[in-house]
Amino acid sequence: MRSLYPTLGLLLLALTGIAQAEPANWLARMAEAVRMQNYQGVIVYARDGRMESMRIVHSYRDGEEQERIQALSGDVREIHRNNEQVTCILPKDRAVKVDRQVMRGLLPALSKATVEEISENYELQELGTDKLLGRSCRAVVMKPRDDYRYGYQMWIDTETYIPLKIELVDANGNTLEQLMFTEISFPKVIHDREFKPSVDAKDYVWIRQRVPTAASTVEAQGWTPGQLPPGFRMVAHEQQMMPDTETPVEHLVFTDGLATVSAFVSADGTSGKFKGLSRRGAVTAFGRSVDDFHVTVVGEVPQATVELIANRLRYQPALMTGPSP
Amino acid sequence: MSNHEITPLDETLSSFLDGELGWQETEALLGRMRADPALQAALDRHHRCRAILRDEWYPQLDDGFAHRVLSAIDQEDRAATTKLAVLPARKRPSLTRTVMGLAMAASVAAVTVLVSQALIPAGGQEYLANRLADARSALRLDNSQHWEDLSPDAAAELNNYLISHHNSAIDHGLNGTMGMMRVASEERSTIDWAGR
Repeated sequence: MRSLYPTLGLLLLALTGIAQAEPANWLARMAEAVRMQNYQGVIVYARDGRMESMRIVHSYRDGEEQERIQALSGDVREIHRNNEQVTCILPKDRAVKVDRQVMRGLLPALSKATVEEISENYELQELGTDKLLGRSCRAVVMKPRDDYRYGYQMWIDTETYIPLKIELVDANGNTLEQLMFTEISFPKVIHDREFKPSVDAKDYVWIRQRVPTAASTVEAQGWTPGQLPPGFRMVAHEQQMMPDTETPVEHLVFTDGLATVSAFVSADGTSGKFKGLSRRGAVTAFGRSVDDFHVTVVGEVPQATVELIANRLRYQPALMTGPSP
Repeated sequence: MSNHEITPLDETLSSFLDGELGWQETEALLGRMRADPALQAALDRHHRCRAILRDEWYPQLDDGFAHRVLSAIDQEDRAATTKLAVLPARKRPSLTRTVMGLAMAASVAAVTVLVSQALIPAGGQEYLANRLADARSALRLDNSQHWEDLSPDAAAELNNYLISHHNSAIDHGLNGTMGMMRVASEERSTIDWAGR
């Protein structure tokens, strides 16, 4: 009888692995589909009691992605994305803003490595099939393993693997944000005319964001993140110019594979108008002063996470760097 | 052999430091402490003994633990007065956890002096800095302010950071899901880069 226990233990472990593997497979296939499928439709985005509807067109042809998002409620605005840049057209401001961008798209795109990383911080579960827009969907839940992140629920179309609905929920199961297709189609071909802007913006003010400068080394810049919340790692550190600042702002980016958090450090006096805690939908922000600097942390994470990252961010200029603990 | 007998006051102070005093007892103790320097000194001694036993005592610290607790509570009281005053006493939230959070923060705040004065070995600074950060987090009340209630300058600053966050974070994690929607859903103009 004793010899059965290790076997049962291994079986349980294997079953747990299988249980995690199935939803992980769905996520990985979804990640590929959102890049490589043609689709168009209307999306409703809801948060804080507000709802916005937007039309989306996405095409993939010869390795090139192209996407157009057009607001259908509120002020007219459009976002155009391709492999190289993101262009925001704002007729109300008579302005066009152009950013350097690696194409990622509106809908989630995840690498295999990212899916594995997600499994460490979230419990992946399948909740069975459901129907949305008359289409069969598989419901997949990403339940956080601690209080430092929110949970996600996705309804993935079983035929195309495009997510038809995504919800971001807090620890109490309250929906913080929701993104849902209210109509969708999958044309074999999407013509270029579908990506033509609805307004003629040639007389608008064109604003190109300055390309960020990568910080040479973290130590050289002096700002270190300290011990991060479990599962989070730093993935980018650069300097950027922000509006109304004359000196660059340090920008550190952290992720757990699903959620992302940014920490901005500026010289106090040039910014620092925001202090304390604030929230909008799923985005939480926390600002505080540290000596002659101001730290602002924003991310789609709970309050505890932004506060912890902000409070542990430290300035350690190279001259004062001592031996690692 | 010690002939010190544990008095009811010892037990009260010990319970206070353990965070086990009820709300009313805590309020009563704090009220007495404000008027009784001897009681403050007694709390200082209790705190010092515990710290020494946990090997967390630094001689460079003064004995102002009780004073720091009272000062920190006064600061929180000023912020929370309006909220608490409208609630009947029996419905007020227990202050025990808040007080202990403050007590812990007051204790760790003293460590900040050591960190800044580099009176501890470099190897221990990160540990203590993390403890200080955790103490600050423990102090937090749910006082988050909605974005739209911020001053225009603060909201504009935060919006700019949010756009930058989404532009960078979209390369990592799942942020592409909601990121552009958050930016695109802004009805107010978030563009303030004229001339840049």
